[in-house]
Amino acid sequence: MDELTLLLENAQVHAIDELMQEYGQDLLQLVYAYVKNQAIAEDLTQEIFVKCYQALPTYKGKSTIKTWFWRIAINHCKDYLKSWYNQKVLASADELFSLQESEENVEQTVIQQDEDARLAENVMQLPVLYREVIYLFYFEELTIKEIAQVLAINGNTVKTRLRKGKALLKEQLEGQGWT
Amino acid sequence: MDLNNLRKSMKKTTFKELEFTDSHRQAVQQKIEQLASVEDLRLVVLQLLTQQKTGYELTQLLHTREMKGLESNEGALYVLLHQLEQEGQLYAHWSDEGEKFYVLSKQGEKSLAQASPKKFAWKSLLQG
Repeated sequence: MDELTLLLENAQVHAIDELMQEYGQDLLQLVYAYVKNQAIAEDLTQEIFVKCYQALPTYKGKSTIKTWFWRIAINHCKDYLKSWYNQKVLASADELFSLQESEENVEQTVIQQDEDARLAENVMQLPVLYREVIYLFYFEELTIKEIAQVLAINGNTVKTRLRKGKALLKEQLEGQGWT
Repeated sequence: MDLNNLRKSMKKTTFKELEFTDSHRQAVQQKIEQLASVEDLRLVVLQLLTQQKTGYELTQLLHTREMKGLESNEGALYVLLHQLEQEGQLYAHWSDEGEKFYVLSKQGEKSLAQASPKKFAWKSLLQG
C-alpha cells in the first residue's frame, strides 16, 4: 500500500473526527427529530457517521460538506422510518403511547402551562413531511434554498410544506386551547 | 404560536437529555478502524494473487506486512479467500502435489484495477 494512500486514509479518518466534533450534537438532535426515540437516535447517528466515512471518497465538492452530510443523514433516517422493524414493531407501541397521552392531556392543560413545551411537543407530533421543513427552517435556521438542497426537493415545495405545516400546527394548538 | 421560539423550546424540552458524548465518538472510530482494516486486507490479498499462491504462502507474506485483523486469527484469511472465491474474484485449483493454489480471476483483476483510483476521487484534486 503506497504512502499517499495511507496518508489519504488517515485524512479520511481525521475528517470524520472533525465532523463529529463539529456536528455530532446537531446531528443527534436532527435524527431524534425524525425518530423520536433516544436509543434509536443514538444508534442511527453513529451509523450515519460510519456511512459518511465510507462515502467520503465520493464527495465531489458540488455542495458544501454540511449539505452533503445532512442529505446522507436524512436519507438514513427516512430509510429507518420506512423499515419493516419501525413499521411493524414500534408503530403499534407508539399508537398505544399516544392514546394514553391524549387522555392525560385533559388534566395537563391546567398543570402544564409551559408554552414552550407545548410548541416543541406539537411540532414533534406533526407528520414527518411537515415536521422536517419546520425543524430545518425554524430550529436549524436553514434557508429555503438549503432546505431544498438537503431534501432534494423544489424550493416551492418547501414553501408549500412550511405553510401547510404551520397551519396544521396552529390547528393542533388551538384544538388544545393554545394559540 | 411563535415558531421563532422553537429553538429555545426544543432545547429546553425535547433535546434536554440528548447528548452526543465522547463514548459515541469512540464507538464510531472503532467501527471505522474495523472497516479500514477489512478493506485493506482485501486489496492486499487481491494484489498478491496476481500471481498464484497457496494459502500458506499468503499467510507468510501477510505476516511480514503486519496486517491488522490477522494477528491472532489465521482462519480469517481463509474466510476471506473463500468469500473472494464466492464472489468470483479468484480461482482455486489443486496442484499435482496436492497443494491448493489461489489466483486472481478476470473479475478480480478488474476489481483491483478499479479499486485503487476509485477509492480516492480527490487524490486527483491534490495532484492539481
